[in-house]
Amino acid sequence: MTSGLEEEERLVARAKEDPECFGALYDRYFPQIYRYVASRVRSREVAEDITSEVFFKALRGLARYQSTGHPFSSWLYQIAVNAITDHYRSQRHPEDSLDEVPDPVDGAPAVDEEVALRLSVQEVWTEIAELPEQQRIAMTLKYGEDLKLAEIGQIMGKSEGAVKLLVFRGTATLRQRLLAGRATAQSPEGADG
Amino acid sequence: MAERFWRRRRRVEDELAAVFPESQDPDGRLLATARELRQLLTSVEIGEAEPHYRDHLRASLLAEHRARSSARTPRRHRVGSLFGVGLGLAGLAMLGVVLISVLVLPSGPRQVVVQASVQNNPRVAVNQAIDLSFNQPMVESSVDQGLRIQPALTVSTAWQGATRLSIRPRHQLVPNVAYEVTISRKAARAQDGATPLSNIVIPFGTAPLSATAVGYPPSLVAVSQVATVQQPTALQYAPDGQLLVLAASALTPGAASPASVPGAAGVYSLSSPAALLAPGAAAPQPSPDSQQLAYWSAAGSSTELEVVPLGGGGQPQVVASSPDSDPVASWVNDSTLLYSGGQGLLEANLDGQVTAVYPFVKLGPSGFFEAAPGLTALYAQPGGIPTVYDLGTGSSLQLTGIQGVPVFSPDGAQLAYVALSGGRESVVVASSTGGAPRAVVVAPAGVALTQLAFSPGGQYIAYVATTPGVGSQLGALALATGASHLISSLSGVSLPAWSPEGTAISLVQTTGGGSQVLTFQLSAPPGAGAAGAGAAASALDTASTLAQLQVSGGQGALTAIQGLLAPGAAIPTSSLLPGHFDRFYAISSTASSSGPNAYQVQLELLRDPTGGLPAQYLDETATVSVAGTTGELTALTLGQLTALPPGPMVISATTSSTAPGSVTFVLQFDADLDPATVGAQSVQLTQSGTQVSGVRVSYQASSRQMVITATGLGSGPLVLTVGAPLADVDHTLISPPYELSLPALPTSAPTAG
Repeated sequence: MTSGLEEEERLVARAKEDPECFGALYDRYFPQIYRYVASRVRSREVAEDITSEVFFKALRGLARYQSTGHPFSSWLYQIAVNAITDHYRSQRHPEDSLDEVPDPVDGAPAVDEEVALRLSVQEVWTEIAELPEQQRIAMTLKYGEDLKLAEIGQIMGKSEGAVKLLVFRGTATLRQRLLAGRATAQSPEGADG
Repeated sequence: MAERFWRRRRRVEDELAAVFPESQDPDGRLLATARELRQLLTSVEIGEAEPHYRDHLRASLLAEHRARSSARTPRRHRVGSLFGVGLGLAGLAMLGVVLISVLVLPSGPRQVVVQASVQNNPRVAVNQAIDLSFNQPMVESSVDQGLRIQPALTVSTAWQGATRLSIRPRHQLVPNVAYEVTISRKAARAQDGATPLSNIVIPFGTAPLSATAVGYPPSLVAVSQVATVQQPTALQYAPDGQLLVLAASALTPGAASPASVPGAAGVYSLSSPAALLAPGAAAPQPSPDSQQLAYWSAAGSSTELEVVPLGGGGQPQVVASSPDSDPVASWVNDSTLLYSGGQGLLEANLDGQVTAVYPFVKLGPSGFFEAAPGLTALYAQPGGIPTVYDLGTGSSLQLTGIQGVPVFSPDGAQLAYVALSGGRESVVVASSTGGAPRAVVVAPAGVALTQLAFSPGGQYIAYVATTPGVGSQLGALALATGASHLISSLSGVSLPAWSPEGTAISLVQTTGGGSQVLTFQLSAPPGAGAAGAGAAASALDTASTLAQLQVSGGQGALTAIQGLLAPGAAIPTSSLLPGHFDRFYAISSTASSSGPNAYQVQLELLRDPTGGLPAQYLDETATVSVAGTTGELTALTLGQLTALPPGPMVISATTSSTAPGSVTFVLQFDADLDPATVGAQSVQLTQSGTQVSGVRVSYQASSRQMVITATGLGSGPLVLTVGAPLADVDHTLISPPYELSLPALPTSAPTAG
């Protein structure tokens, strides 16, 4: 892992001068940054706009970039998180973007009886969008991107312990809300019929 | 690399455990929620970015980078202006050093950068060359030596001006394979000594089999030469897969001299070497059980209908005679023939006794007819008028605008023919018993369509398209969608014949040098053309649906998989990793010992290498219970998600039995094999635990298929193992060995994979 980071640091150093090296960094990180952005905004056009913004900002800020011992992707995620936050702040109803998430098959049987809780993707996205901003960012980076707590801390400018707390609180809130929603749905009043 | 996967998984688990320690989450509910959230959100299907957008953004970024770099360059000139305002001697001396450095010392070599035509393209055509473009002149021999392709291929390289390299595989690429071209950093050496920063790795893939599903006609995988023939007039497969040609002579590769009959045409079996079955024959027809061959033979002023054993060696048996000029015969079953007998359409058994007449059917003076499979309908030209008879009711209908002879679908329900309308030819399909004809494909003006041939499954029609100035080429269309394309650019082709399992088309190509019989291996979807292998094909379809859902991922995947399960069946859905894979192979479908209608399907799911991560694979064995044409999953055995080892891999396996006590396995590999390692030393076949001797092994390089045949077998279960020393052309051994178990000898039809 260390050698991988060292190799990346050399590549980043060269990328400051060499466009082709920047191209190599782009090739390496474009898929995951685009995926992350697309998972948050749920619109191809907006995802493309924000991803472009992320990489142009990275290019323009590259001369000032200094390695902190974390992967270069942490810095890109940091830019992406800020760009997504800016995007939603500029929207009147940020949750509208979640409406496009398709519902799972109605009335489908439970997928796996052994898991503790039944979730659907739409419910989860809706509830995540309702979480406080910091919890929302930590939750999506942890569960959606599988990033390390330390990397999330680097992206959010927080300690690893603070990220743990955000994820803990976010998960507890989410579980509580999902269970409450499920209980309502299963009550005679909440049932579809 | 597998360790890397598990290390990462452990890391994620450890971190989640740290977030939700037992002290704060005593019943583990939050941890369970966290695990499910992670699984749910990482499996959400996010569409790939548009390649055009991705490439455009990259180009824009690099353009801005270059512009910024060049904008920074003039700073150097400011040194001169500083000099102008006066510097101390020390400063002047330092400037001198800088100037000397800039003007005299050589700058470092420019790093090697390569662009590839196929880079990251997951749907490269199987006949496409791999073109590389370097940013500076390269040491060609060094690059050639350091070039590797995985799965291994035999390639030739051609350079243009030391910067452009074209890599051509000797045989066409295999569909649905993720390839990786690698040039080691040291080998990728420019003429000025520069190298790239790291090994050059160019991933790309060929279109998956799902792209050639029923809605799209199959594509060409490989071409092989079967025989050289003279004056061929008919080509067809017997139901057992034996290829027959009606010609003046036939010479199979490796045979010393052609089989021929002086002055007359004969029917030849193109097994190696070619064997003459019936001299002086016309209109040959193999029986449904592939045991006999019926044909017409001139005898004085009339023509005799004769039957000989298809395996050769027997005397012709005369069944009937006909005064018609162009009589036809068609098998009703293994002991009865339908034929044009002068007075009309007759049926006779092999002893020559007429068993039925069809007085309502009027044949033309030639006696020609075309019978639908199952004898539901028949086409004839009484008085030159194209007419279709319903043999059940005796009713008839006339066809208008028809060009040439129509063909019936394998189930006899449909009729396809070429029609001319508005000066353009089209392929028209109609119900055999009437109904509105439907133009499936309309050819461009001037292009003639002929020689239609239904695929054994009935989903596709092959045809010959003749374009002025180009010649005749093989095309295919999908009936469901009307999608069509030329299967090959080879011209001068005729007489297309589908193989019984629908995975190949054989045809004749005639050039100035003569005629040859070629076989085109096709990328047919699993089970699509597996005529006669209905239950095994249904099982394969069900298992393929499971694998496709795992590849697709998305919100509904696990739910849809649940819908494939038989009542009461439980499979470990949490380990199916939907959305984690890029492609799959449904390798084989064979009878299972667990029940009379149960089949075992071998699946392999693959994740392509990306971002420095190696390719991974997961083996699955699905047990499918088949009722009618519907399959249900009753059990699933999962292997471990593992880094894909280098070396050849079996991606399809079919089994069949052409004679009592015999078995034939056809294994399709993804890589070119080292011929020296192909043989009995790499193959082990056991029956009831005892090794079978006398196993024959052959390898067809152009299709990358290994054929393993054994005879004299009993009835016990068989286990085939193909392992070391089998290796690819890069000398990488097959690993792990491929294994296929059969509870008993297969039925005669191929149980396709």
